[in-house]
Amino acid sequence: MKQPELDSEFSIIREQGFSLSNKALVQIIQEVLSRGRSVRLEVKGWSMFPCIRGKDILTVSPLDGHASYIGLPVAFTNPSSSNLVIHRVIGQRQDAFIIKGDCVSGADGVIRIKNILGVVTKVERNNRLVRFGWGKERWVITFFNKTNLFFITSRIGGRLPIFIRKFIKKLFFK
Amino acid sequence: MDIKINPGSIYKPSEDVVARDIQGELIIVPITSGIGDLEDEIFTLNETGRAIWEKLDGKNSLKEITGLIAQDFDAAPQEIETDVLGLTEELLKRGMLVEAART
Repeated sequence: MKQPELDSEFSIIREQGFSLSNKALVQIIQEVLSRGRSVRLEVKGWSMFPCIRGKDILTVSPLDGHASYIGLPVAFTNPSSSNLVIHRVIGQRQDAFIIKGDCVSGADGVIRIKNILGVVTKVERNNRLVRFGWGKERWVITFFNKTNLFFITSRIGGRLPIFIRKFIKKLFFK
Repeated sequence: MDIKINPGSIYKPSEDVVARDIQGELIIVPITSGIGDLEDEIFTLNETGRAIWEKLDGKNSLKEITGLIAQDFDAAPQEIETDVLGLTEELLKRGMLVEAART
C-alpha cells in the first residue's frame, strides 16, 4: 500500500478575514457558545441597517436568561435554510422568539429557542464601540422595525434611515 | 517567551480551543479572554501540522507521536521529531495546547 506523503515542515497559518462557509460558521459558533463563551464575527449584509451595517464586527454571547430579549439582535439559524442570520427580536414567547430584520419588510417568523445561537452584546464599527441600541432607544428601534419604517425610508432614500437613527440617538443620548 | 519542551511529555488541546474539521480542513479557533474571534483569530494547519495535532490528544508523549507519525508516513523519526517539537512549541506559545502529563 502506498504511504501518504508528508510535507517536510508543519505550518500553522493565521487566517485573517477567513471566509468560512455558513454551515462551518454555525458549527463553530455553536461550539464556542456552548462553552459559555462569546464569538466575534463580521456582519455581511444590510438587513439590520442602519443600526447594524455590513462589515460591523459583532460579539455574540450565549442567552443568559434575560426576562425579555425584545429589542435585542440575536443570531439564529433559519429553520428552512439553516443559514446564520442576525436579526432583532420583536416578540417573545416561552419557547420561541418572533424575529425580524430592521430593514426588511417581512418577519423571519417564530423561531424556536433551539434555533437561537446567542444574543448580540457588542457592535464595533471602524474600531469603535457602538453604544446605540441597548438602552431605552431599543424600544423605539423595535417600533420602527415592526412598522417597517426603516425599510420604507431606505427605499425612499438610501441615507434616510441614518438620519432617523441620528434623530433617535439625539433623543436618548444627550 | 522561552518554552522548554520535554519529548517525554504528554500534551492535549487547551479547553480554550475549538478545533473542527470543516470540509477536510482543520480550523482552530482559540478562545482568548472569553471570546472566539472569527474575524482575526482563525488558524489552519497544513497536512503535517494536522497529522501531529490529531495525535496531541493527551494520550501519547511527543516521543510516541514522533514514532507513530514516522510509521504512518514511512519517514525517519529524526525528520519528524523537529516538526513535532516545533509545532508543539508554536501551539504552546499560542496557548492552544496544555501539558497533560510528563513521563
